[in-house]
Amino acid sequence: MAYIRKIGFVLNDSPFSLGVEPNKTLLSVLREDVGLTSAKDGCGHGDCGSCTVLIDGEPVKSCLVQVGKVEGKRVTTIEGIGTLGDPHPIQQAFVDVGAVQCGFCTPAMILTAKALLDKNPTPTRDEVASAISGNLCRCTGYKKIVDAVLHAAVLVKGAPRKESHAQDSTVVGKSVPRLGAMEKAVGIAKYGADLSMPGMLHLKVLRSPHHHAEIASIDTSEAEKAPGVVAIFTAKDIPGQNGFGIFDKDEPVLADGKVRRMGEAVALVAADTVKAARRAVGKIRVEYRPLEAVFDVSTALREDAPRIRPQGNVCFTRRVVRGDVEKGFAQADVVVENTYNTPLGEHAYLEPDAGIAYIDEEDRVVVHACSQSIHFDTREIAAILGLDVAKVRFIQATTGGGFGGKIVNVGFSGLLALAAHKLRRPVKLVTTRDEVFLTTVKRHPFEMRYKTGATKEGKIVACEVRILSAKGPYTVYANGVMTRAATQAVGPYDCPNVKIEATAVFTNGPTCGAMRGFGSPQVTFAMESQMDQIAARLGIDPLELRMRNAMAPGSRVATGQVLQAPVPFRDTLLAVREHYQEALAWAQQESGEHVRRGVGLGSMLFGIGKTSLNNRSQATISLLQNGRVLVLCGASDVGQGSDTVLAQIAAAELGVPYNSVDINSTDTAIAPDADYTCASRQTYYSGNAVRTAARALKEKILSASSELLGRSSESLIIDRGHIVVKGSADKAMPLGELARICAKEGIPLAADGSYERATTRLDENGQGDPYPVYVFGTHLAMVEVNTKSGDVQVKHIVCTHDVGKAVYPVGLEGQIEGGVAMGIGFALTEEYVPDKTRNLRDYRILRSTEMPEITTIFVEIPEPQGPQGAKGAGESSSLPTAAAIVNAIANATGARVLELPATPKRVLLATRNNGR
Amino acid sequence: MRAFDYVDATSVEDATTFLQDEADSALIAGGTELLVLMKNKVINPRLLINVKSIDGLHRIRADGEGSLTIGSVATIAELGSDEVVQRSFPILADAIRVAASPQLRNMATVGGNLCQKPRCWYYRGSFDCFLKGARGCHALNGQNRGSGIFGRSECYAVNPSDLAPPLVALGASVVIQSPQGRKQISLADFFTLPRGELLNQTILGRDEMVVEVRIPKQPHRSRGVFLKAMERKTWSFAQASVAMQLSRSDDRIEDVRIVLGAIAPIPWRATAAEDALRARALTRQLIEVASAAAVEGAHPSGDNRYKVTLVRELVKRGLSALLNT
Ligand SMILES: Cc1cc2nc3c(=O)[nH]c(=O)nc-3n(C[C@H](O)[C@H](O)[C@H](O)COP(=O)(O)OP(=O)(O)OC[C@H]3O[C@@H](n4cnc5c(N)ncnc54)[C@H](O)[C@@H]3O)c2cc1C
Ligand code: FES
Ligand code: FES
Repeated sequence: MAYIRKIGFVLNDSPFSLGVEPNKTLLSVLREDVGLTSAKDGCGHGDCGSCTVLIDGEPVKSCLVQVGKVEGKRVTTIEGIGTLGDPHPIQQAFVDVGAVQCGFCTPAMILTAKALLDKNPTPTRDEVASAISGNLCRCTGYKKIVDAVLHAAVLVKGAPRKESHAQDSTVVGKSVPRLGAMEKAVGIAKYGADLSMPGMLHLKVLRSPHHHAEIASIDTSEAEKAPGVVAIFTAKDIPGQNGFGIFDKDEPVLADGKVRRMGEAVALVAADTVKAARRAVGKIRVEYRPLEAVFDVSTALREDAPRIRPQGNVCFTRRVVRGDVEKGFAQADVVVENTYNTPLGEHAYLEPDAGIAYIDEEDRVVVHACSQSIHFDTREIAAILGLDVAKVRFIQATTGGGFGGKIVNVGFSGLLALAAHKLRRPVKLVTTRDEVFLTTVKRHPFEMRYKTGATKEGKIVACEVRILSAKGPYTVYANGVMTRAATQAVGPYDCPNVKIEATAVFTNGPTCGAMRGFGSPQVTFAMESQMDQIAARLGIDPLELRMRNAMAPGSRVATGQVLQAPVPFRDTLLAVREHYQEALAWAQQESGEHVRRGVGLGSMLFGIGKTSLNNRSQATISLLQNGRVLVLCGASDVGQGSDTVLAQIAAAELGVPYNSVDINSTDTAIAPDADYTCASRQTYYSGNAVRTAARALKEKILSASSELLGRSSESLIIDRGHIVVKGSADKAMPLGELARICAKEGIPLAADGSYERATTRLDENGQGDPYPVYVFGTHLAMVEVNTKSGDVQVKHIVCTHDVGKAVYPVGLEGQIEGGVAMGIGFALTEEYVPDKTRNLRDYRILRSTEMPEITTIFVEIPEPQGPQGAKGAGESSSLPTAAAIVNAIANATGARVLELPATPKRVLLATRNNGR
Repeated sequence: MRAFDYVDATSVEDATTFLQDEADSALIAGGTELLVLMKNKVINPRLLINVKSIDGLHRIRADGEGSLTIGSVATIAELGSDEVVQRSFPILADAIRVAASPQLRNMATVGGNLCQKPRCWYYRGSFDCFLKGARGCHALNGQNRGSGIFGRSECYAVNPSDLAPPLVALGASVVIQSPQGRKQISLADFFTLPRGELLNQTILGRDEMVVEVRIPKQPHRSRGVFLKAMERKTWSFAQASVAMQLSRSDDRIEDVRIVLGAIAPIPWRATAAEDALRARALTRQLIEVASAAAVEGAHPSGDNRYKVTLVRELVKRGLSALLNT
C-alpha cells in the first residue's frame, strides 16, 4: 500500500501542503498530485531540462529532485511568473521574438532565463547561451531563444514591446505573434501527457527483447491477477485489421506470432495506475523462439539469408534513368567515384509520444494525442478497430515536435484507440524517453555509391548512383523516401545522363520512416561532396562550378520534368557570393595552433509535397456573428507554425485583422482533411486551400452586403473587418453585423476551398512530374578543424533559401535555424546505434553553447501558383548544412569525410588518408 | 522506483545512526545521482536519509589563513561562486564550470559528487558486473571507449567526478564520521581501487558519511591548471581531465601534483611526471619529458587507446600554460 508523507512548501508564493508518496520526484508531484503540468517530462534523467523549476530562485531539474527536498522551500513554476492575461516580460519577449515553436521546452527555458536575469540583468549572448545550456530545444536552433532573453532584459527595464501587427490585415510578410505561442509560454498548452479524464486507466506496453523471434506462447494469467489490472490485450484482441502503413499495411499494432525487431509491441496492459500497469507488464510470460536476425544490407540480400518477410527481403526499389550514362561518361574528362554512408537518425523531438483516448457522446472512439497526420491516423485506426471512419475521431493535442516521426504513428495511437474501444473507458498512454528511442521510426541509413563525370569546362555530363538502405522490417515510408532520394540524387544540377537506383531492404534493425527531408539530406550530402571533388580536380571554384551547372527555367530534373519559371537556384548562389568571398578571406587569416580554417558550400533542391501522390488539402472558412473568422483546416501544426501562416493568408485575403482569425486544425470531427504535415507541403497546399476558401467567402460577403447596402459588389471592399465603399473613408458596416443579419435571413457565410496540383506517377524508368514545384537553397559553412584532435567547430552558417514569399518571416527564420541545428547534428554528432543509443545523453543533439552564428537570407521570387507567392520551407533548411560542413572540412584539411557523422575519429582518419 | 521512505537527518550523528540501524538505507544529498541509480534500479534502498537538512553542513568557511573548509552538502554551484575558491583555488572553480548542467550544479553537492558511482554502461544498465557483486568486467572486451587506462583491477570503470582531481591536486582532505567517531584522511586515500570484497571506488564504510572537505593553504607562488577533454563542447563527463598545482622557488619546481581524471577508477596521480619535474626549471624540453612520463605504464584495452594521447596532450597543454606564469 502506498505510504503517504505530508510535506509543506511555498508554491508560486502561496503556502502549500499535501500528502505525497515519498518516493516521488518533485516533477511527478507537481504534475500528478498538484495538477500543474507546465513542467514537462522529456527524459526523466537530467538530460533535457524541460522539467526545470526554480527552488529558492535557482533553476533545478525537477525530475531528479526527490520531493522531500523541497520541504520549507520556495518552488516556482511557470504558472507563478505570469498568466495569459498578464504575462511576464520574458514570456512576452519569447512570443514577440518568435522563440516559441513546439513550446515543449519553453516554460523551462523561460524559468531558467528568469533566474539568470534576476542575478544578471544585462547578460551577454554567451552568458545567456551558457545559462540555458542545460535545456535542450530541438526546434529553434536556440538563436531566437537567446534573442528573446536579451530582448526580455530590456523589456524588464521598461523598454517598449516590438510591434506586433496583430490588428493588421495586410500581415503577409510581417512577423505577427504566433498562434498559441503565449499559451505555451505561460504553461497552459496541453500536450498529450498533460491530459486526463476522470476514471482514466493507464496503459503500458510489453515489448520484444528479441530482434527476430517466433512467439510460441503468451501467458497473461499471472499478470491479469496482479492488483489494479483491468485488461491485457494481445494481437488476438484486435477486431479489425492488425496492420497499418502508408504504402503497405504491413506493420502490426501488436505482434502476431512473430516479432521482427527489438521493441515491437507484444501486449498491452490497462490498469488503474501507471505503476500497476508497469508491474503487470513484468508478469506477462512470453515464450520466444529466437530466429536468426539480419541487420546489414549485404547479408539481407544474400540468397540464403533468413526471410524477414514472406515476399523476400527487398522492400522497394526506385529506378530513375534518363539519357545514357555510358555515353555521358565517355564525354567526361574527369570521373569521381565514391561510396558515402550516413547513419540511422532519431528525430529526438522533445515530447515523448503521449495522449489519451475515450468514447465521446456520439459514441466515437476519440484519440486525443500528438500527431502530424490526424485524418490519415483516423482512417488507419478505423481499419484496425473494424469501425466506420465516422466512428473514429482524432484530436491533435499540442504536439512537441514531430520532424516526420509523428506521421502515421499508429503503433502508438492505435494502442490507445484499441484499449478505449475495448474497455469503453478513458485510457492514457505516455511513453518514456527510452521507449521513444527504442520504438519510434528512424531516419534511413544510406549507403550511396556515386559516380559523376564532368567535362573539363565543368559541365556535369553523367551521374550514376546506387543507394541501399537497411530499413528495418516494415515498409512505413520506404517508397517515398527511396523515390525522393532517387529523384533528387543529382541535386539542383542540369545533368543530361542519369542512372539512379535506390533500394530499401528489410532487416531486423530499427524501422525506418520519414525524417525531415525524406532521404534528401543523405543524397544532398553525397552529391554536394561529389561537386566539390570535381571542382578540385578541375581547378574550378566550387561556387563557379555550381553556377555553371545550375538549373534554370526549362532545365530538366532527373525524372525528365521540365522546370517552369521561376527557378531561383542561381539567385541563392548569387545571394551567398559576397559572404563566400569574405569567408575565403577569413579562412586565410591566422588561426590557433593545429587549427585550420575552411569554407564549404552545399546546395539543394527539394520538391514540395508528397512524391507523385495525392496531396489534396481542404479548408472551410466562416464568418461568425461576433465578427470573427474561423478557419477549419486539418493541417497539423507540430510547432512549425502552419496555424499562423494559414491565419495570415486568411486575414490577408479577406481583409480582416489577423487577431480576428481563429483556426481549428486539430479535430477531425470539425477540420476537413488537409493531409499530413510532411514534405514541406502545408504552406503551399493548405495555404492554397485557405486562399481559395477565403476568396470564395469574400465573394459571398461582398455579394450579401451589396444587396443590403444597395450598391454593386464591385464598389465594396473589406477593410480591417468592415465593409467599406471604395474611395470613401466611411465604414459602411462591421462584418459581425453583416453576419448577424445574414444568419437571420438564413444566408450562410461560409465557403470551402480545396487544392490539389496534378503530379504524375513515375514510369518504370522513374520518368514523370513528381512535384508541382521545387525549392532551392545554398548554405555556406565556415569551420575550424583541429588537425590533432579531429575536432570540428562550426563558426558560422550562412543560408540562402528560395521561399517564394516569406509569409511569416520570424517563423520561417526559426524553421531555418532549427533545420541548420539539425543539419549540424547530422554532419557531426548524431548517430543512432541500436542497443547502445538509449537516451538524449547518448544521442547528441546540439546544445545552446554548440550553435554557430547563423545568417539567413530569403530569396523572395514569388511562385505564381503559391498562396501569396509562397512555397514551403519546413525541410529544405536541414538538407545542405551537412554537405557544406563536410566540404569546409575538406577545404581546411584536404581530408574528405565519406561517412557521417564526421566525428573527430573519422576526421583524423580522413586526414591521415588524404589530408594535407 | 521501489517504494521508500525518507527522514530528514538533524545532525551528522543522527544520519550515521540511521545508516547503522537500517541496513537498506542510503544518504541523499542533492539526489541527482541517487535518483538516477534508483530509476535504473541499480540500487533500491528502503530508507533515504536526507543530509541536506543538517544544520550548517552546507557552509563554506575560509579561516583567513588561506585554507578552506567545505561542508559536504554545499552545492557545486555555491562552491564555484565562492570568492575564496575563485581567488585561491581557481582550478576548482574551472572544474566546476564544466561539470554537469547549470540546473544540476544547483542541486548537486560536493559530498555527493565525490561519492558518485561510475558511469559505466554495464554498471548502469541491466547487466551483472563486478561492482554489483558478480565476477569479471564486461568492459574489458565490450564497450570500453570510456574505460580506464590506469589502475586496472577487477573493474575498468573510471571515477567520473570532476571535483576529485582538482581537490586531490590541492592536497585536500576529508572528514569522515561514523557512529564510532570522526576521522580525517587525505582525499587521495579516500579513493581506492575496487578489488576483492570492496565493490566501491572509495573506502567509505556502510555507516560512514563525508562531513566536510578541507583544502589547505597553498604555497606562495603556487599556480594551477585544470583541463577537461569532453566529447562535446559543454557539460558532459570527461574523456580525460588533468588537474595540476605547482609551486616554484627561484624558478625551480618545488612542489607539484598532477592528477588525472576519468582514466582510472580513482583520481590518478601521475607520479612519474611529477618526479620528472621536481627540482627542475620548467622548460619546453622538460614539458615533453614530463608529458611522456605521465602516460608511462598506461594499459589501454581497446577502444580507449585514444585516452593515452589525450592525457599526454592535456598534461603538455597544462604545463605549457604554466610556463610563463
Ligand atoms: C545529466 C548529468 C550530468 C552530469 N555531469 C557531470 C559532470 O560533467 N561532472 C561531474 O563531476 N559530475 C556530473 N554529474 C554527476 C553529478 O555531479 C552528481 O550527480 C552530483 O554531484 C551528486 O551530488 P548529489 O548531492 O546530487 O548526490 P546524491 O545523488 O544525493 O548522492 C550521490 C551518492 O553519494 C552518496 N552521498 C551523498 N552525500 C554523501 C555524504 N555527505 N557522505 C557520504 N555519501 C554521500 C549518496 O548516498 C549517493 O550514493 C552529472 C549528473 C547528471 C545527472
Ligand atoms: S525531464 Fe528532467 S531533465 Fe529531462
Ligand atoms: S520549441 Fe524548443 S523543443 Fe520545440
